[in-house]
Amino acid sequence: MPSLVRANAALLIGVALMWPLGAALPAVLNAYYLQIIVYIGINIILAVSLNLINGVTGQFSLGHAGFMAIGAYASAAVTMFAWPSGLPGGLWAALLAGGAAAAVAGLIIGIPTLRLRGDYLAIATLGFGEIIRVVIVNTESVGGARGLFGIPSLASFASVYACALICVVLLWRLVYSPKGIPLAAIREDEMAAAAMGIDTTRLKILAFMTGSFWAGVAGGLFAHFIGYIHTNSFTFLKSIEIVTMVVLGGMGSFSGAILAAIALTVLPELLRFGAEYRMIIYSILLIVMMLTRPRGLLGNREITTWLSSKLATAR
Amino acid sequence: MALLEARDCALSFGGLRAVSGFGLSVDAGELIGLIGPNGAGKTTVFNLLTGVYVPDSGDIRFGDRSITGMAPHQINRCGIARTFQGIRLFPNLTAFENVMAACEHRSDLSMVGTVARSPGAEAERRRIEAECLALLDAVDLADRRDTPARSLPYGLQRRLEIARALATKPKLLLLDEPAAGTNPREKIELMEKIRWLRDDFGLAILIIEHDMKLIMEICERITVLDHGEVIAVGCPAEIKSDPKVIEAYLGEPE
Ligand SMILES: Nc1ncnc2c1ncn2[C@@H]1O[C@H](COP(=O)(O)OP(=O)(O)OP(=O)(O)O)[C@@H](O)[C@H]1O
Ligand SMILES: [Mg+2]
Repeated sequence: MPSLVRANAALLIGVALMWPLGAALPAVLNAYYLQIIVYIGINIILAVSLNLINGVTGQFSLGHAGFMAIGAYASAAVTMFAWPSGLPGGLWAALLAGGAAAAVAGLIIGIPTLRLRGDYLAIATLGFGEIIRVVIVNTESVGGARGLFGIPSLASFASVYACALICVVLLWRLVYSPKGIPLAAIREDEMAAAAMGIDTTRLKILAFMTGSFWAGVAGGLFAHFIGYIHTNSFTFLKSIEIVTMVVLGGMGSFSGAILAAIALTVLPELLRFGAEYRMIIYSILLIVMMLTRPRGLLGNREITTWLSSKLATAR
Repeated sequence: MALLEARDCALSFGGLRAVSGFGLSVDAGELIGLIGPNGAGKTTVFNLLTGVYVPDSGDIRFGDRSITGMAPHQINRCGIARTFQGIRLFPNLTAFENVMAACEHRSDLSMVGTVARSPGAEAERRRIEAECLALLDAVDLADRRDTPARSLPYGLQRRLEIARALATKPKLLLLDEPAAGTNPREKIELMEKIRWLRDDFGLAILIIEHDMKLIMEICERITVLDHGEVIAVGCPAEIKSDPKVIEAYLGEPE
């Protein structure tokens, strides 16, 4: 146990620091900026987790917003209807429940579609996102078409960025470990991966569930930050937005996904474009990207390796 | 008992009988050649042995069990590894990562241990890394460990593919034209390397190669395929003087 704490000391300190940081921020930033910063944190979790599925493992999921919705509603149900009021820890229980619910949904979709190669997952997740919305709209106990009001505002800058930090660090450790390299091998050449003893179906499902889990956590944070959720927040367009972050950043690159998540959260606010123009801009961005840098801003490498290679050539 | 025993295997693609009545027996530690004219069905045999295709009929046994119908990753885990005629590395991964990807199923690294950096998982990770480096070293690629596979010269890609196959700890290694596209000097080096690998790793090796001189030189036994059927089996000297083999090679209609 002590060695486990030592190995994770930096991470634990980083997580703990989010609370004093969160307490200090309102003194320097107004509520509007603070809200954008929180949205950036949530989008980082979404982009990095989708990057595990789309970028690293190479399985094209178009339903990340659907998993976010499951996490949002499941976690809201926990704090509103299940967790005893007054008992602390409700947010964390809710986030775990939201993540677990999304992961189970990922398992159910993953088992039939990920056995197959090709675009089955894209089609299945596309349909799934819409089915989830229809189911929620028709479920009166979670607010139906009116949306769900009165979710306790338990999430804040601190909890969002604590989760984002944990998510990024854990997924980074996974992807760049002997357990994660085989995921990239599946993306690179599935047949060769299988010939090397990699159980491709099992690993694809595992990556898909892990990514879905974090989408569920992001949904839970979102619900408990704004206190009101509606299916309009989890449409196909939201899924496309997250895909854009991954593609823009460079498939498989954490730093790319994080930079793109920041850019695509801030840009629409800066330019004050309405939602109707946003999709046009994303499309143009994607087209320009495909033409000029088909492998994304950073390719599948990290900014750290990119910087060190730039330095090496400069010398 | 033979390590690998294929009996009466057949496979058709639509109307084309690519392989029929195929039999092969490989003992532990043997170096065996599989030769035949273009389109004879050699690669298809490799695909049958590794589970890419399931034979229409016949049985393939490895060790003491039948592997017919098993998925490719299961067959690999039984102890058969291969390289591909058209190189199939993981192009955007580094040489080191290519080898590491093939260690997956052999490590008892847990997912939770990995992300929590538990001491056990860290020790296991270091062990795997050392092993991968040793394998790169065995094919003289240690100094290219961080080069993406796609940027390696052709000859080195072929060697990396062998290192990657070895990382799965096979008992039998299938090499599909490992010397194709390499220059004469590289070819001789490679063949020496293959013989050395066989001895050092205690492997049985089945090798497809068009260069007769090389095959005759290094293999103990040779199986000759023509039009999907075995036309001769024997030691190099026997194969060289077999009239059916001579006819198959000289009497090709093309
Ligand atoms: N997937 C496939 N679908 C249809 N036909 C195939 C397929 N794979 C191989 N064939 C055919 O089966 C026959 C044997 O092919 P195979 O690739 O095994 O030959 P080979 O002995 O490896 O030849 P080469 O020396 O050119 O590599 C050929 O006629 C080939 O066209
Ligand atoms: Mg061939």
